[in-house]
Amino acid sequence: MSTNKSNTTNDTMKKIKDRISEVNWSYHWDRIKDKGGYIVFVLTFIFIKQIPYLPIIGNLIQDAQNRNIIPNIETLNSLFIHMVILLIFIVSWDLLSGYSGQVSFGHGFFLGLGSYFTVYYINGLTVNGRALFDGKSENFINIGFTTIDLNVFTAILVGATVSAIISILIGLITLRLKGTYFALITLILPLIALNLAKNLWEEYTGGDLGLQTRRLVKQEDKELSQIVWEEYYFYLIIMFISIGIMFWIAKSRFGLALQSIREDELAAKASGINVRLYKLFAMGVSAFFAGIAGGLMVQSVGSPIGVVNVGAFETQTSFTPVIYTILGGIGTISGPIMGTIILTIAIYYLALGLIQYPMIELRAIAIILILILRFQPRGLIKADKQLKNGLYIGIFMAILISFVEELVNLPQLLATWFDDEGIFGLDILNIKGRLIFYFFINTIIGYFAPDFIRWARLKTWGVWPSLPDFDPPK
Amino acid sequence: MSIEELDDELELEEKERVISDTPILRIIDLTKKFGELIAVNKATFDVYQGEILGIIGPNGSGKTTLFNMISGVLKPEEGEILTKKNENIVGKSTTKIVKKHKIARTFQIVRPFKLLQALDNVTIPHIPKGLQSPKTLKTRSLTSLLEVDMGEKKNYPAAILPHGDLKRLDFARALATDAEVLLLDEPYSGLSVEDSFRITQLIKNANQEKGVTIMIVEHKLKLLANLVDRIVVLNQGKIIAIGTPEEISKNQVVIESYLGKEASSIVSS
Repeated sequence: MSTNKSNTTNDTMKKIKDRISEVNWSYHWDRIKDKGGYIVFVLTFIFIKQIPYLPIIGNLIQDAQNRNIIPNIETLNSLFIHMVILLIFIVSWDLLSGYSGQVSFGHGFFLGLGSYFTVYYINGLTVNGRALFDGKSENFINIGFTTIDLNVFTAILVGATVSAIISILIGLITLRLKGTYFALITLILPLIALNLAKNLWEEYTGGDLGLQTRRLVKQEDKELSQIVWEEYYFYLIIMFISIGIMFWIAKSRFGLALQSIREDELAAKASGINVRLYKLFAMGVSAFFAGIAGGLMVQSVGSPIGVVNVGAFETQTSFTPVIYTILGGIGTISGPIMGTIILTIAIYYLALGLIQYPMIELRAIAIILILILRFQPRGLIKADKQLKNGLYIGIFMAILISFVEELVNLPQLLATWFDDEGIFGLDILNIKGRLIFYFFINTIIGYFAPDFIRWARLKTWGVWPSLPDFDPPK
Repeated sequence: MSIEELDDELELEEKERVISDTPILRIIDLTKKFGELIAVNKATFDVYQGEILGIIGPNGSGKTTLFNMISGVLKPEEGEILTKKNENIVGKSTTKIVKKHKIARTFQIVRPFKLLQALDNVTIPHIPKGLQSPKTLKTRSLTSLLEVDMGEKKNYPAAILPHGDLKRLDFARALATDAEVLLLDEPYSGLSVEDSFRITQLIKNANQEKGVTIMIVEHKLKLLANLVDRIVVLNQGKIIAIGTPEEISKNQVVIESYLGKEASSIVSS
C-alpha cells in the first residue's frame, strides 16, 4: 500500500517537473505580440533604406513608389530625419507634462536654448568684444559607418546641459505653481525669448536669418545621397538612446513617483515623496532631451551647413508636442511616438493633397484634434477598437484601391464626377489627393460596416449559427 | 449583526500591550488662527508610545486642524510639537515629517492616486526608502497590500475601487511609510458595519504587532469606546477633557457640551 502511494507521488512529481521544464511557447508568443508595435517601429526605422530591396514586399514598395503612393527614397530620408528629431522633442514633453502633470506650453524655449548653445559652443561667443568662450576646431573621429565631428557632438550635449540647468532654475521659481498657472508661465517664456532674440540681442542670435555652423557628419569626400543616410542613422542611434532612457525613467519607480505627483500632490507628500526634488528632476530631464532635439534640429535643414534661427521660439513650435501627444495619447510613452509618426505622415500627404490651399494642412490637423478631444480624449493609442479597426481598414483599402484604380479608370471617373476643383479642396487629379479621399471614405465604411453587417444579418438570416431547439430544464 | 457580536465571534488573541510612560509626541500650547477665528487654542497633551488615542469633538472644534498641524500641512501660530528625541517639528515639510520623524496620516476624504493601480498606490510610500532592487520593492508593496486584504484587487485602478477598499488602501499607504505614529482622520466615515469591523482589526493589528502609536479622530463613539485607551475631547478649539472612555463618559463638562445624556449612557454601558 505504502509503495503504491509513493509511486503515485513520484509520478505526479515527474509530471510537474516535465511541465516546468517545458517551454511555454504560447506565453512567449503573447509577450512578443504585445510588443509587436515596438518591434515594427524599431525595424521600420532601422531598415527604411533597405525596405525597397527586401525579397517579397520590396517589389510592392517599388511599385508604390513608381505610382507616387509612397514618397521616393530621398523624400523618405528627409521625412524620417524630421520625424526622428521630433520624436525626441515630443517624448521629452510627455515626460514632463504627461507624467508629472506640469503641463508646459513653452517647450520650444528649451529646444531653442539647446540649438543656440550648441552653435555658441562650436562657433564661440563674443559679448561686447570680449570672448566668453572660443570656438572649437574640427576633430573628426571615425565610428564605423560614418565620420563625425566630436566637437559638434560635444556641443549638442553642452547645449542640452545648459538647457537643463536653465530649466531647473525656472523650476525653482515655479515650484509652487500648478496647472494653469504653471502653463501660463511656460507659455510666456518662449515669447520673451523670441522678443529678446529678435530685437535686443540680434547681433548674438542672428535674428530671422540665424547663425550658421558646421555639420555633425563629415561632408567632404562623399556624395550627398550617402551623407544624408549616414546622418539619419547617427540621429537614429541618438533617438533610440534618448527615448530608451526616457522610457526607462517612465516605467521605473521614478515614473511612478512622478505619476503620484500628477494624481495628488498632497497625498504624494504624505507618502514621503520629495515632491520638489521630483518636479525639478522631471523638468531637468525633459529640458535636457528637448535640448538634444534642439541641437540636432540645427543640423536637420537640407543644406551642407547647420542653421539656427529664432523659429524655435515661435508659439507653433511649443504647441507641436501638445497637439502630437494629445492625438497619440497623453501620459504614455508609446502614445506620443504613435502620434508623431501618424501626424508627420498625415501632414506630408495633406500638404501635397491639398495643394490648392497652401498651409491648410494645419487647419485640417486642428479639426482632427478637436474630434479626437471630443470622442477619444485618451488618444489614439487607447482608442475604441471600432475606431482603430476603421482606421486600419481605411489605410489598407486606400493603398489597395490606389494600386488597382487604373484597371477601372477610377481617376478619370472621379475627375468627371467632381469637376477640377476637387472635393473639399482635395486635388483629385493628384494621387495623394485621391489617397486621402479613399482613406476618408474607407475609414467611414470600416467604422460603420460591422454594425451594418450585424444589423443586416439579424434582419435577414437571424442569429448565426442557428441554435438547435432548446428545452429549458423543468 | 452588530459590531459587538462580530467582536465576540472573531476575538483575536489579545497580546499584552505595552504602553510606555515616555511620550512619543508632546503637544505644547499649539494654537492656530484662521483670521479672527481661533481654530485650535493652546492645545496641550502628551501621546504615549504604543497607545491608541481618540480625539473627539463636535464639528468645527479643530480636530482635523490639529492633525494638519502635526503632519505639517498647516503651520501653527504658536506652540511646539516635540518628538521622542525632543525635536520640534513645527514648520517642517510634510515629506520630512513622514520620512524622518515617522509620523504618517490618512485623510478624512480618501485621496488615492486614481489612475494608478492598487499595487502602485502602495508602492509609492516604499520608493523613498533608499536603495532597493525592483524585486524588493515589489515584495514590500505586495506585503503592504496583502496586510489590508486587497491582494486580489492589485491590478485594479483606484478610480474603480469602492469606498471601503479605498479606506483600507489609504490605511495601507500610511502604514507602508514605516510610521511610528499614525494619524487616522475619521477612518470609519461612510463605511458599512463589516468594513468598520475590518478597519478596527487593522488598527488593532498595527498597534499590537508593529507597536504603532495611533491617534484617531472620529465621531462614532461606539467604535472608539472599545478601541482606544484615552480620549481627548475638543470643543471650540479648546481641550475640555482628557481621560479613559469611562471617565469621559461621566465627565459633566463633556456631557453638557458635546455628548448629551443618551450618548454617554452608550459609552458607559
